[in-house]
Amino acid sequence: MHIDDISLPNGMPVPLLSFRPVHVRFVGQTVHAGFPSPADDFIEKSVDLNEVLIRNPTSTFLWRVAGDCMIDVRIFPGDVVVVDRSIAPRHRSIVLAIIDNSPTLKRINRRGKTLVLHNENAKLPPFTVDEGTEITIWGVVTATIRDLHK
Amino acid sequence: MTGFALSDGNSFYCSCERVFDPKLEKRPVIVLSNNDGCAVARTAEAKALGIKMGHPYFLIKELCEQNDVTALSSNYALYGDMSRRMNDIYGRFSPVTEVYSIDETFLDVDDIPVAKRVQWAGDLRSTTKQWTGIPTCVGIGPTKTLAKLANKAAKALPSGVLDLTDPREQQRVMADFPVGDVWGIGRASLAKLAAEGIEFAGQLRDMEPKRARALMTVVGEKIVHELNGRPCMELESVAPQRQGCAVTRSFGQRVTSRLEMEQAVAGYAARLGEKLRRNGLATNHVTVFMHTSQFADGEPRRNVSMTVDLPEATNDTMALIRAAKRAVDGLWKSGFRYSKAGIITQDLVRPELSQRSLFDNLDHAKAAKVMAAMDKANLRWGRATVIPAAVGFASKSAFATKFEMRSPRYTTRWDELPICH
Repeated sequence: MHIDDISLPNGMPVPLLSFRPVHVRFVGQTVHAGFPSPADDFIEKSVDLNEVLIRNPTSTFLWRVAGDCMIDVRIFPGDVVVVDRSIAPRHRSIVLAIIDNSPTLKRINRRGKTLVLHNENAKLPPFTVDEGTEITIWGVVTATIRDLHK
Repeated sequence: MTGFALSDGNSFYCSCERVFDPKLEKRPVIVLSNNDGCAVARTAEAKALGIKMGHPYFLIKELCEQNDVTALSSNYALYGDMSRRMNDIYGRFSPVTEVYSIDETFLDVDDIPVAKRVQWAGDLRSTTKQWTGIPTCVGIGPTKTLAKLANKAAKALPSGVLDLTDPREQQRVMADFPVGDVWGIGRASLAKLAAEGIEFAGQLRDMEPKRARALMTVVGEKIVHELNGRPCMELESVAPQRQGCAVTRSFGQRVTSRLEMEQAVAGYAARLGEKLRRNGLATNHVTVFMHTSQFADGEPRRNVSMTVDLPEATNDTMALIRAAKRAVDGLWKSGFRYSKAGIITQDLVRPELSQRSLFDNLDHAKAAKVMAAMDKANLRWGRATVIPAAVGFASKSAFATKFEMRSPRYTTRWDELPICH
């Protein structure tokens, strides 16, 4: 495989390190006299949204929602959904399904031994598929992200 | 038992595109090199139409239109991100890996019992497919060369896995494996081997190592040992220091004026400086080349290059531009429609180890400060925010790589996420 740009080792793109300058301000008392901050021993990393939104970064992808078939479970157009490909879909999972080549959000329900896909929008006609429709489950939706202050 | 596996993505660039655009599934797709020059990745459907690796796009454009082939510009941001994810997965399957190229990785399988290697490779494939959507093939062998050979042969198997740990299996597969497809056998070696009547890997394996050395230097000897299951190469999990560095581009439009050429090459010199500084390296010479299109029939052709030595090893963009300009001065001849130019350096050195020239009157500290400030501004506000004036102000658009048919950068840009309904 030939990358015209440059022969990097093994043709890999070099990850740009984000080196934004970090200004470190010492919060605790470092002056000789006075008392040490009582918080000094308890400094921890700030909570990180990635920890709750993304369980498996390797297999997780973000998709932008454009349709309204899931608005009854509060997934609206413009939202970002977090989709994990490493999770096996189960009863009541919300999934990103590829239906006849079109990426679509659906709810999975188990009826006896078969899995059935549903919309979550009472105003839409029930979701049905014709014989021969190709369906694959792309991944399982694990979270949604919505900007409330746009 | 010592062993290597090689995993690679099938039609990797095309497969990355298919993950986010299901409409491309089961259809012919090709990905083009920089400036949409030639096909660098093809799906099986595109290969079936006779599209070859490296085929110039303008020669196959009609064929593509007639057969509804989707041709895409390279989307390196996407391919790089998918490659990183695949390597994350490989890291869970083997303690030592070597990223060989954007879509090929060697894995150490010493700890996997021989009887379980096929199963292990199958798990690696299915996990990679499930987690990233990218189909792969895995070859296993007692040497890297045999693992690479097994990987190539695995492409034709429905399982996508081939284990050549067993010498009898090696014998069977190598008997009709074209010697030109053996790792490390280039065009020159192939011609020499053909003259010896050697067509298949099995014949090369049976060659006297000394004879191979006489024909193809020590490289050929190593290949013979490796084909016999005697490892000559270890995994290189740390990328070796870069030996050389190049910035080359096909022009979006043919260049016919000297000023345009000077500005284009100055732009490459600036980019080269950036790359050297990022790697903490310097160079004491630059080679500039320029040539006309090899596909334009009836046009006058020209293909020239010139090397200019620098007074001392440097990575200062201004010094590189001065040297590059001298090369352009020496090379330029009008009356040609140049299609490509570039700047190349070899023998990179660490600046702290290089010799200072005796009559050195450059203000190093000052130059380093200017370069650091420029790099910082360009990192923060985007490439080519601050440019040396020699590059010219038209250059950002005129010489920038064309990506006319690029898909969205699905995984690295908030405003280009894939869309679902």
